[in-house]
Amino acid sequence: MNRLMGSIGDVVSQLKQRALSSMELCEAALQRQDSVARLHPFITCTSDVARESASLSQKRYGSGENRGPLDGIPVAVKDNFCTSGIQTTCGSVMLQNYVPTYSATVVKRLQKAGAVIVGKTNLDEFGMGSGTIDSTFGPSKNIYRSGIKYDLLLSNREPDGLDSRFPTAAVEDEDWYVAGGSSGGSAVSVASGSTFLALGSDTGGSVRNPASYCGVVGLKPSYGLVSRCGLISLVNSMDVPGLFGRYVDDVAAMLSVVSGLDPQDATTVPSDLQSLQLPENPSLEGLVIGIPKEYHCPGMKKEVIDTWTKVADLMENCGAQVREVSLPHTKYSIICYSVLNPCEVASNFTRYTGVFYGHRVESSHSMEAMYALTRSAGLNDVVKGRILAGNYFLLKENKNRYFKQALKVRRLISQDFDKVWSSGVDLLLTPVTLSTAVRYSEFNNVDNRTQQATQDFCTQAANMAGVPAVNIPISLNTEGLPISLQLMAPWGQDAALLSAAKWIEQHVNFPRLQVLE
Amino acid sequence: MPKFDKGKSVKISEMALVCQRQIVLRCSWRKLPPRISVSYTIPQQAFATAKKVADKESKVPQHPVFPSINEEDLLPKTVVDLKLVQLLEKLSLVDFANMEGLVRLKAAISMADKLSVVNTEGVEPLVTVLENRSLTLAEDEVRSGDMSEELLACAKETIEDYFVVPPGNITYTEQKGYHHELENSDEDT
Repeated sequence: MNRLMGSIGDVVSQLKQRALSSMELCEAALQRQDSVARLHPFITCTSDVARESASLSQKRYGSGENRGPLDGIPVAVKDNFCTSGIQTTCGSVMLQNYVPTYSATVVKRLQKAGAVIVGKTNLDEFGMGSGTIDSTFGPSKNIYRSGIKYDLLLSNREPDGLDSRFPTAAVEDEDWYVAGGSSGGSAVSVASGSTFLALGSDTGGSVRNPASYCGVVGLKPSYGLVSRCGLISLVNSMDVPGLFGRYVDDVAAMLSVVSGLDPQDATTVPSDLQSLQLPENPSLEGLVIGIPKEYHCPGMKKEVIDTWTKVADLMENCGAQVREVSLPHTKYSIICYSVLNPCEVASNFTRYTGVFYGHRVESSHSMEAMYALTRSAGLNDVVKGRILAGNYFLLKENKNRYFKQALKVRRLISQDFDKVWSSGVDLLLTPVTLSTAVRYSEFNNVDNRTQQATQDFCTQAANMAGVPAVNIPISLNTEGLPISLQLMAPWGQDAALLSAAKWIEQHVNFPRLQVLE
Repeated sequence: MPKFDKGKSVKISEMALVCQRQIVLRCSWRKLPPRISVSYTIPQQAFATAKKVADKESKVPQHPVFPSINEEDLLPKTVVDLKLVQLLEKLSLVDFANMEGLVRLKAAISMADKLSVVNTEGVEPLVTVLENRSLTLAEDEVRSGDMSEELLACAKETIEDYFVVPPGNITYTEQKGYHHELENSDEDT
């Protein structure tokens, strides 16, 4: 199915030229969704809605009008974004039967741009996790080495360029590789070609982590540039809708559609990203790239360090100035997050009572009993644990020691970034995860909290400071698994960030996965 | 394709001039060690500023930076006792004040305690990264309404136009009894 391989620019050209129709594209995407169903990227398939959108899109192309770069493009939406009339579960029993009466702003914007929403993707329950194994509906699996047959192409523009250096067969013992989390379903949806783009959410790395494991581009925009209205809250001060795609240009197109001031989200700011156009051939001329030394943390695999080194050296050889910098409070970022996250969660999750929506366990004799039983049944242990911890940190006698202290440390972390930007650094280049995708057998041995604490080391700080960060797949390791790197930029510099990401993409020639059907 | 030897200065004229838009590294870039001897083709515009970096150390640290937190500086550990558990359960209403919940809570506190070593004197809390920006508040106008049917349809228990709840003046936690179990069980801190 070559039509699912290309960039959206290529596909929209074909749609305009009527070489391909929106309905055909939609059917191809739905068919692909079927073929990879055992990876379980989707909780809900929205085929009716998709076909309707595709049909309207086709009519538009027929009459010569089209709504822009996303018209007719199959996209996926993480299941913590409200979609009117379509169940929105957050991967939880609590919202299993919840059908929102409104759509998230980003969803509305995608629909207005003509995007074809083919399904709601799987996630760790309420976005808490880094593997997408903690969902009520079962785990999502990484497509790499999953048993799904695929080829690796050196460049999709040269279909004969098969890359046969890497193993693609399933791993033994029915084991599989985790997709990463919490937006694992969205990452797999894009990696498998079921969609060209997907919405995710990033609070501590939940877009960049699965993007890294699944070998796709994953962007966490600057906090405030993309509306959170309709994104079911986890940590209001850090949540950001995130974007997945196979090409940086595609993600840029999606950003131009979803970003911008929203009167319904008071934490959005105006931006000019609606007219975002990345240069065709970005240049590194005059750019100063910082390498924060603390990001080489214990436990990081050598192949990740080697990749980091090679790309840094490559950028230096090609005109950028590369220098080592320090972000001294990095080591506190995870700990800070381990306090701020539960505090905001404890507050946000008071809404889940079973009274107005969602799961409800009957207890006729007392409201409190009903609440406790409902919440106990509806929320998994990870969520419950965070609520308890959050309430502990917010107790009067603890507030200064934990909550206030964490807020102060957050400022120190943010100031680390400010100092680096003021010293003349334009971008930071770092690893994303400590290793390539972990096997489920290994991953499951460690509890959720410890797992997150380890894997979120390189991604968390960007959420603390609200700066934009993007995951770029670089190469495959000897097991055939993607190794990726991260770029970070000052707040609001998303265009510059994506330009540099595009440069890297153009120069590393990451082998492209093509599913064989 | 010209190769550059380490330690040897390179004349610009020795570099291959190819009219390509992009720099393309030939297949061997993946096998490059940190100190690189590179063969590549250079676009004309980068020609003037092309540098040979072959001899320099990579800027990426090849050894981990150990994030050590001195455990001795930590404040004394909080004792998680029965009274605390009851209070938390009352606030949380998640029916999780059992052994497993306690274990998780203690682990969370243990991790959070490490924050106390950071010197935050004179540092203001950071509540939002947008603190220096002027944010727009929505106009106080009604934009939607007449949705009582749709909204009531979301709930499991409704009567007429009302959401139904059991009586609210009865404290749940005291009835549970698991606190009694905790008191009697063998707890390790």
